[in-house]
Amino acid sequence: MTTNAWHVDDELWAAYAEGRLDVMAEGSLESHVAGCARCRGSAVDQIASTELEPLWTGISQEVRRPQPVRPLRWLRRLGLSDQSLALLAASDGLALAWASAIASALACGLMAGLTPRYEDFVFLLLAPLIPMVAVVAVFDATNSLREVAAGTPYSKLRLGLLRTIAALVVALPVTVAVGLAIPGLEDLAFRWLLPGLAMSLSALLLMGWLSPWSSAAVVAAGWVIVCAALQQADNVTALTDAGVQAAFSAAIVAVAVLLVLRTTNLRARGGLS
Amino acid sequence: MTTNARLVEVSKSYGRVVGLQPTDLTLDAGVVGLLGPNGAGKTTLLRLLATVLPPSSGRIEVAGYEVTDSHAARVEARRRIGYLPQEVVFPRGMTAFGFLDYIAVLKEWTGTETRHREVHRLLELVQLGDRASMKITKLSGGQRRRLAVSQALMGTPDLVILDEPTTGLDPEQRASLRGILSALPGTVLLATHQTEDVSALCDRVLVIDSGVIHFDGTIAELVGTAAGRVHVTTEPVPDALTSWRTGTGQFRAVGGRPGADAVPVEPTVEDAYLLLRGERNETEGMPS
Repeated sequence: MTTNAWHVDDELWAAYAEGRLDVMAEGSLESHVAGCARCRGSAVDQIASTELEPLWTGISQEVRRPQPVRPLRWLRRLGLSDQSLALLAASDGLALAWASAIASALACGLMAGLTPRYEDFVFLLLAPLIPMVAVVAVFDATNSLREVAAGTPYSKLRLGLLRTIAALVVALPVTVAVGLAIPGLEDLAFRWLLPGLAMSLSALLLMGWLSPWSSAAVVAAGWVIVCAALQQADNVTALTDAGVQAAFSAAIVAVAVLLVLRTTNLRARGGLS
Repeated sequence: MTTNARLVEVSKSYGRVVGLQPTDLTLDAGVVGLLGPNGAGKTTLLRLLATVLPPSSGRIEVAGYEVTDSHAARVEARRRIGYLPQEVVFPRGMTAFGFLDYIAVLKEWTGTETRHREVHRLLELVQLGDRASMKITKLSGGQRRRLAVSQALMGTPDLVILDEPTTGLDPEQRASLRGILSALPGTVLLATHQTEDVSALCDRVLVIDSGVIHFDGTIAELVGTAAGRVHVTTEPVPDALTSWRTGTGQFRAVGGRPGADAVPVEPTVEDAYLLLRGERNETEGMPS
C-alpha cells in the first residue's frame, strides 16, 4: 500500500489555476490528483460556486428537457430545423396523423382489393380522403391553443404549410404505394392526388369557421356525393379525365390563394393558427 | 409615462349584439384591473387589444403600432404583447416544457439555447421547474393555470393581457402571482371577478358593463364612491343593495338607508363595485 506523502494546498492550486506551474509540475500535480481522493475533494473547493451553479443548472435543464419521439428525431437528422421540430413535437398530433394516414391507406387498399368489381370506385372514393385526414389530424392536435397562437407574431401561413407538409410527407407516399400494390388500377393509382390535395386545402380553408373534424366531414360528404352520383351514372373514371384534373389544379390554386389571404387577415377564426 | 395601448372610438358588434360600444381608452405603464359582470364586454376588450379580434370600427394602437392599419403592424404589435385567454385547453400529450417551447417558437425565440433558457426561467417563475417533462394532463388545475399565465410573461412584453389569471389558484399562489405581475415593467391589463386582486395589485381600475366603461380611476377613487354608504347595524337594512349577518351577529349593509344605530365602516373595492352596479341596474330598471 502506498501513501501519498504530500497534498495540493491552496497556494499550489492557485498557481495551477493561474497557469504559473511549469509543464513538469503541472503533469505531476495532475497525476497526483488522479490518484488522491483528498486532493480531488479539495479541487472542488477551488471553483467558486458562482461558476459551478450555471454549469449544473445547464446540465439539469438539459436532462429535464423532454426529447421528441423517434420519428421526429429522424426528421431532425434529415435537416428539419429545431424550431420546426418544436412546433411539430409540441403534442402527439403528428404521430397520430401519420398513424391515421397509414391505417387509412391500408384500409383503403384492403377495401378496394376485396371488391374487385368496384375497385376503381372504392379507391377513387377513399384515397383522396387520406391526406385530408392526416392534415386535419395535425391541425386538430393543437387546435385548442388557437386563441393563444393567434396573438403571436409567427406567420400563420408558414405554420400551416409546415403542418400540412409534415402530414403529407407520409400520407401521400403511403397512399400511392397502396394504389400501386392493387392490381389493375394503372394510372388511377396517381389520379387521386389532385382531388386529395384540393380536399385537404378546402378543409384547411373551412377551419376558419368550423372545427378541424367538422371541416373534414363537410368536404368528405361533398366528395362522397359526387363520387356516388358518378358511380350511379357508371362514369366514376370521369374524375380522372384531363379536363377534370385541370379543374382540380385550378381549384387547388384558388383555395391556396384564399388561404394566403385569410392567414394575413385580422380574423382569428379565419386563419390558420 | 409610456403609453402602451390606445383605443380610439373602438366598437365591436357580433351581428346585432353589441360587445363593445364606441370606446376611447389609453393604457400607460402599471397594473390596470378590469371589473365587470359576465357578458359585460371584458373579454371582447381584451381580445381586441390582443389583436385576435378585429374591431367593427375605430383604431387600436399597441406599443406604437396601429394594429388596425396593416398585417405588418399587427405582427410588430404581437411581438410586444403577452396574452392569456380566459380558458386555455392544453393539447393531449403535451408536456409543460413542450407547451412553453411551442409558444416560444410562435413568439419568434429563434435561438435554441436562449429559448430553452427562457422556458426554464418561466417554469421556475411559476414554481413548475420540477414539472418540466411532466404531461400537462397530470398537473393540478392550479399548476395548469400557472403554466398558462407563464406563457403570457415570455420575454418582457410591453402589454400583458390577462383574462382571469387567478381562477383556480389557491391564496398562496395568488399572492405569488401578484408579486410577479407587480414587478413587470410594462402595462398589465387584468380582467377578473376577484375584487381583492384588484385592490391588492392595481394602480387603476376600469368597470365595464353592457360594453361601456362606466368607471375609470384609481382604487381610492372607486372606494371613495362608496364612502358613507356601507354600515354595520344591529338590524337588517331592507332597502340595502346587499346585507348579511357577520360573525359578530351584526349586519353589514351596502347601500340603503340604515337606522339610527348604524355605524359607517370603511368600504371595500367590492362594496364600491356593487354600488356602482346597483346604480346602473336602478337606472335601467333592472333587478340588482
